[in-house]
Amino acid sequence: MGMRERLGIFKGGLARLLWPVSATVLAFGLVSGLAVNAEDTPASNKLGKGDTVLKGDGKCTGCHDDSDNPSPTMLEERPWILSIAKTKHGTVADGRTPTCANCHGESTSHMKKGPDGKRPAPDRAFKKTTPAAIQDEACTSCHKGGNHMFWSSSAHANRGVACVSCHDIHNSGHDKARDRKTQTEVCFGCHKEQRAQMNRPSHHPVPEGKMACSDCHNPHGSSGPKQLKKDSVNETCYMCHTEKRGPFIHNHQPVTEDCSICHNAHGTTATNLLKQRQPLLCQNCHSSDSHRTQLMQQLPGRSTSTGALGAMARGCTNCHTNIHGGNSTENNATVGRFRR
Amino acid sequence: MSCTKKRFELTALATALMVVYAPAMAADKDLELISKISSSVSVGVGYWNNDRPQMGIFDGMRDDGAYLLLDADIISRNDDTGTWTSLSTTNLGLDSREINAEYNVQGNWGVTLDYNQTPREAPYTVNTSLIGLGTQEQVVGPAIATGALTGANVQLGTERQKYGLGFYKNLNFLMPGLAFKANYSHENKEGNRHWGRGGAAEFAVEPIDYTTRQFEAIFDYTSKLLQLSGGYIGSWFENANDLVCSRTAAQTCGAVGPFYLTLPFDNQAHQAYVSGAYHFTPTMTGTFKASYTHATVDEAVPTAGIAAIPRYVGAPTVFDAEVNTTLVQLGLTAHPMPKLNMVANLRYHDVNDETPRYDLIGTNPAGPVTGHGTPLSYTTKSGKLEGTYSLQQGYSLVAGIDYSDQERTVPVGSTAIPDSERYVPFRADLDEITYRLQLRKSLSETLNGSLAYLYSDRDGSSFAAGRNAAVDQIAPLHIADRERNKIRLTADWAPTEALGVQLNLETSRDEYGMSAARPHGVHEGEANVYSLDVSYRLNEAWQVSAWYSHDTNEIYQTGRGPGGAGIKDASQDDTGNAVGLNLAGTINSRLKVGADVSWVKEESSIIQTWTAGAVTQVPDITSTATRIKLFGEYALNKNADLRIDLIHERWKSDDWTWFFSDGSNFQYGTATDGTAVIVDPKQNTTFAGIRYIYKFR
Repeated sequence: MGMRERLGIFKGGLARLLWPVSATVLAFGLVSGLAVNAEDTPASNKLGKGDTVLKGDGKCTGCHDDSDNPSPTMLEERPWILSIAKTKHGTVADGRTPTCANCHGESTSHMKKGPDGKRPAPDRAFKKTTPAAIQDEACTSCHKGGNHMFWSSSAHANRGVACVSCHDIHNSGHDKARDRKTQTEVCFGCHKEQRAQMNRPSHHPVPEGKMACSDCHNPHGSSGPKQLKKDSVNETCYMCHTEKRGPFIHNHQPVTEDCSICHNAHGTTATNLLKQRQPLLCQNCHSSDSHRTQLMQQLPGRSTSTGALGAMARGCTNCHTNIHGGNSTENNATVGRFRR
Repeated sequence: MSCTKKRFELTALATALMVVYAPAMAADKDLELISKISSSVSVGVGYWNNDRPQMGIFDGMRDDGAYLLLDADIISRNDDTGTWTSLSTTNLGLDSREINAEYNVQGNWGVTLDYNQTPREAPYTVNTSLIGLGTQEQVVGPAIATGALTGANVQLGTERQKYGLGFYKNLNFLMPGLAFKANYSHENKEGNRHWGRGGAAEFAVEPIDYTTRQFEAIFDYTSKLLQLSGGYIGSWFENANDLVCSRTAAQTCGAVGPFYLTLPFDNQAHQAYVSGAYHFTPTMTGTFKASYTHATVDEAVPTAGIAAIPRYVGAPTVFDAEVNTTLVQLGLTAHPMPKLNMVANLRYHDVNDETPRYDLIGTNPAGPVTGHGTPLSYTTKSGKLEGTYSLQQGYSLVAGIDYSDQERTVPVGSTAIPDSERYVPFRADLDEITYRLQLRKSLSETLNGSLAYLYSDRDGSSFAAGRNAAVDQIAPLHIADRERNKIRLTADWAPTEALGVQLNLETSRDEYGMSAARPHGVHEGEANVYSLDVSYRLNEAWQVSAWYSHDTNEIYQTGRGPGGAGIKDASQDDTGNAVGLNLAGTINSRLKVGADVSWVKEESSIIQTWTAGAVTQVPDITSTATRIKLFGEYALNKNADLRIDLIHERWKSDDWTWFFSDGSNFQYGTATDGTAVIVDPKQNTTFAGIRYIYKFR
């Protein structure tokens, strides 16, 4: 196969790529041309004399900036302090954005060294020794409501996970927690079981960067179980697997209750995120009569035996192919067993 | 630990930048590098030397050959108006491409546009003579002889293409703190999924041609004390196909003979909700949410429109289904004492399936009816109370209790006892209570961690009997009595600024309540996860991090033996071991390099016994995935880098799902078309890629 055929841009057809690009650019241009009422934007935090990147930062950047000092400096030690200018927090035209003191406190005692020659810490230091609730006050005074509505009752808030445990405020424009390609580095910092599961052969495309933890979970708290974005496991799954929502003419009971009865969304060794290989998974509920009593076996060759095929190929779903539910009205008992 | 790593990366970056450009740069230039928004475009080409059926399921590079590597991250901000304009593309040259565009006046209004393409390729090849893949009429082809592989090689898979549009506007001119946002997405999913004909085990393909549209319009109100959010969320699913006629060459669709396989109906759901938080005092916050969801299906039943398909006279010709879901949740967080934090939640969740209980299977014209529809409803009332008390020296104690009380539908098929339509026993009520206790050590610069213990107990009402005495001997997994014990230990040790160590130990054990009358089902399960992460900064230019993870999962079940003779049992034991290693640093002022190694080994073992006969054990399965990634990035000048990536992957598995015991490919039975499935158990591939990265401000 030639290079041209293999190049992804040609592989799917040039039109396939051009369409979304063109649509994006056209729509983008259209919207960009809309008149903007600048008066709706909160009053600006314009920089004052002596300020470097944030309003009133002059008293801080006098030390936390080494542009005039050629020796090893604080800028080398903490180069990201000024990079807040690249972020939403550094958009001084938005009057809601903070000053240094809004988050770190006025910190007047920090401005000069004490009798012992040491400089006291700022009023609010984001260190491991600072209680999470005190650190979070700097954030939650603005970031409340909306997606943060349930923060106060969330598992993270009540386990001492501070906002800055995950978010890098002085980032260089890409906060790892908000970038879907790097988000798992943050989440797996604590969630080791999920890291192990994501490494299994069957997984959602999270390691490939096509999904992120936050596609299903709201780490700021939610009304759903396990901080899921929706009110239940199934409602969360239906965001992408809408065809499973049903209802079906023939419902399979566990499907209607909770997808996680059979699937582990983070990853499994069995195919299709199934928690166990078939027929064992099915035999957790169905093992007492007919071919459901079968033992697992690897066949020596071709077979049409229902009882022998439960562990090979698609397992029980070789025949029960519509296992999530069927819509047939055929007057035949097999349709109620998800075979049509 | 993340702070250390972050700090290292930025330090290394700043150091490299300063060394490279220091002679030519003024102090203002330093400031610009660090504080001005930058953009980049990278273009290059990469080459895989072999197919990657297992490792390339999702990334759009399954096949060997060359690929265009094209990414862009273009972003600008007008500092005077706070207006952001950005265009970000990822994998533009691959079938896994993403495009995100955003224009917003920060704090005022904004709009986003997204495109996201996701492939999913089956990790095997199908050799088949089936005619009509991807269509609603599939014809069984000429029989393929054993081992002949004379059919066509088919690659099954699906692809999603999703378009999104978002809009945000503050409505301060109406009321300070009020904002509106709306999002719309349109997704097409197309392809073919491995399916069955529904008779004996025979190959068929489910044609996938789905369209899912979702829309939400939300008003948010935020003030110092009160926050409210409310709106509408709609979701529409459309399936271009509704029925597959799977026939032989001699049969005719619409006549007696073919298998008629149904597909999911179109469905839709509409939700209205309101949620809120109110800060009664600086130390007490109340939250609530109320939502109502109305989900429906209203579709003509395709099997009712084909005269040749036998149908009970009372079965529906139009399926009119309705599920209404109500959620009411109240929460309270408070600090009644300086050292005590309390969280309380009450929740009512009602999923009410109001679909008629249709007659589906029976003797025409007057019955009896032996098969009914099964609308299933669940009402769950749950509560949570948790307290955290701060002790001395950074210790705190967390104690909590969760309670859940669920009412569940017990389907009633017939008035006979036992009910001939009840294929498993059901329960009308299910209760679970969970106690949690955790001791946490925090607020230390060097050592933090926690030790947590969880105990839960689930039981419920008596079982409504299954359809016969044999079926009634099992307690289904998800409604069986269960006791769960779980312990988790975490420790985060950072003895120096350069070194960070994380230890995580988790173990949990489930024991299911069996009885003499109901001895079958899952008896016990156990899961363990142990992991160790170490990060070390060698010097200002180099950092290494490594982790090891070991996990085991065991489950033990019993059931009636084959033919109803004796008792069989099975235990499945899965063990995973994984290692990760990352090394990154700067060789000199212009050259950055890095290496990332991952190795994962998954082992699965199943042991079966049977009291009434001999058992031939199934082989253990071991799968190993290794990936070695190397990169080097060379600064050509201050605006351009050259990056080289090298990746080597190895996948090896003896999973016999698609192999007979003599090692030959799985092939459907001798009475079928002889479709075979071909899996490559050893996959070794290497990738080389080169990119030119242009950076600008």
